[in-house]
Amino acid sequence: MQEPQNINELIRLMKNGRNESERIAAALDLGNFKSKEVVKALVEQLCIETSRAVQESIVSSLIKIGNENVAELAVELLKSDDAYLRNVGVEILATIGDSALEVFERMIMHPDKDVRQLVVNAIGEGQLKEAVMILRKVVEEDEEENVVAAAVEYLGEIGGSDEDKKAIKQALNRFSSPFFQYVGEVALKKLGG
Amino acid sequence: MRLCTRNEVKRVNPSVLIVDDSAAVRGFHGSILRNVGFEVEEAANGYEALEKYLAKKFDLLLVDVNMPKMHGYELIRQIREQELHGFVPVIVISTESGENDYLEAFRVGANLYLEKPVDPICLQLSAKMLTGIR
Amino acid sequence: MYYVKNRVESRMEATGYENFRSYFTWLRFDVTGRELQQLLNALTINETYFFREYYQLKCFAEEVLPEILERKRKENSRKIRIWSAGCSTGEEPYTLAIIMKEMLEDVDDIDWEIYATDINTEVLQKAERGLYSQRAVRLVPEEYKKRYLYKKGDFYEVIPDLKEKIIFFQLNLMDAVEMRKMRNFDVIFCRNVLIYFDDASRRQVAIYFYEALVEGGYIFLGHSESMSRITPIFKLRKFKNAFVYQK
Repeated sequence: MQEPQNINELIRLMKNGRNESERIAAALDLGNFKSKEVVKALVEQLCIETSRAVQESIVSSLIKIGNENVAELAVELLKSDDAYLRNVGVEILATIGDSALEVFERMIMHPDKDVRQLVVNAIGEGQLKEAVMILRKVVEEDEEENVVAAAVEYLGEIGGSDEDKKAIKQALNRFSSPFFQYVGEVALKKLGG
Repeated sequence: MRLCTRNEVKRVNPSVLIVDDSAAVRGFHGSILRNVGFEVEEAANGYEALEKYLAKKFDLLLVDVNMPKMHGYELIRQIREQELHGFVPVIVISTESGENDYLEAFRVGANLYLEKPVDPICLQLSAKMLTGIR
Repeated sequence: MYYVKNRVESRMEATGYENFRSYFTWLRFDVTGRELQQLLNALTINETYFFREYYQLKCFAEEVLPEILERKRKENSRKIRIWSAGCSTGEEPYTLAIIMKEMLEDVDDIDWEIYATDINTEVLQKAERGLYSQRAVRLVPEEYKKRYLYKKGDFYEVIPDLKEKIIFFQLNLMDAVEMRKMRNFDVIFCRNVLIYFDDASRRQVAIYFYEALVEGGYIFLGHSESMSRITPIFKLRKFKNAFVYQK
């Protein structure tokens, strides 16, 4: 049913379609395929596309495809200079959930704190219970106050184990700013600790 | 006994709309600003913020950058475009430190860029300065 | 909760059970499953009626329509196309038709039509029939009732003049092929329909709507719904009476 010629033609239309409408239609149709090639083409176009409507169509397709290929490439969006692309990256990862777990585990150790922040946001936004351990690890080990604060807040929402509470208490000893103390206390209260 | 001067003005509390997807951060910044006399309203996301902004005049907006769906800069852009109640000062709160991010903030029309974790005194002084309160 | 309580109580009344416990026991042990189905139907049918969410309709008639007319004249275009997406039993499209008849009464150079779609064929049949209870038309102003509805016993039927301005057909908002055929609409009403979709589907439908609209076309959602929450591709406009989204 899905022939290679179809894919190439669709990719061509998405990139060079005569008008916005054609590019939107092509981007949406590409959502029916799962291959790495298609996902790569979609993400590449997403980054250079000037029409927001076409970008949103691409996002819609990436979410629909939702496999590890998407997770691998969506995570690269977190490094973008463009706020829209960063946020869309977070949204895609948060929505595809399970397929992104491996990527989360890898990226949570990224040297750039802004990237780590967004990975935590993706886990929190997606309310991904399977990733609670990752959040706890961040709370225990990450050195950046804002990244830890975000992880603490999400842990307060989707965590609950004794290890989670212990991790938060330890973090309260590591960061003394009024902001962090406030966030930590709120999370502990939520967990009944 | 004290005579009223003709120019006595009734002091009304300044209002601030705090936009952040984190309830904890909204609470934290909210209490800091209440302590210097602001009336605080909150919005958990850009669309809620936009609708609240369109419904009433605020003296100050505090906007978090990294919000899902409608990110902070998109919200500020739309607010500047609509400018329904005249100019409203906007403070951006961000975890990012890259130069691009802070240039983008000013490009969309923000007036001040603060990095998290925000120091309470700094926030209070900034808020008062931007709203012309002593 | 009030909504659920109401519906359950009305089923209890219909089946003659005075207290919830006995109704619930019967419900659980009813092997035919008929009452369960009835209860489900009651819980998922949404009450719709003519002139629902009046302030939005006022905005459409008094604020949006003049803008559309102005644009049509500038472009030398002759037709206004309106889409009632998720029209259910027809109260919304007929309401829009009444508004259009009234507002364009003295306008000769511009015509209009309404496309009314729903995924459910049963409600579409009812819509085409155009027969309504007193309850459904309770908000219709008296003079419109006289002008646009026949009284038929305890019911009201929509006049043929109104019926002929509306095209009813089945359409699934998630159907890529069929949705692409919807083009060149000036206004889309999709009120309290998208609330039943998940986030990903909502975005998909929003993109189809974007494609279905002309440049500058308008979308009306339910008063507590928000397009900005779904996708940033529409512009939010605040009118005196309502919020509207525009392409």
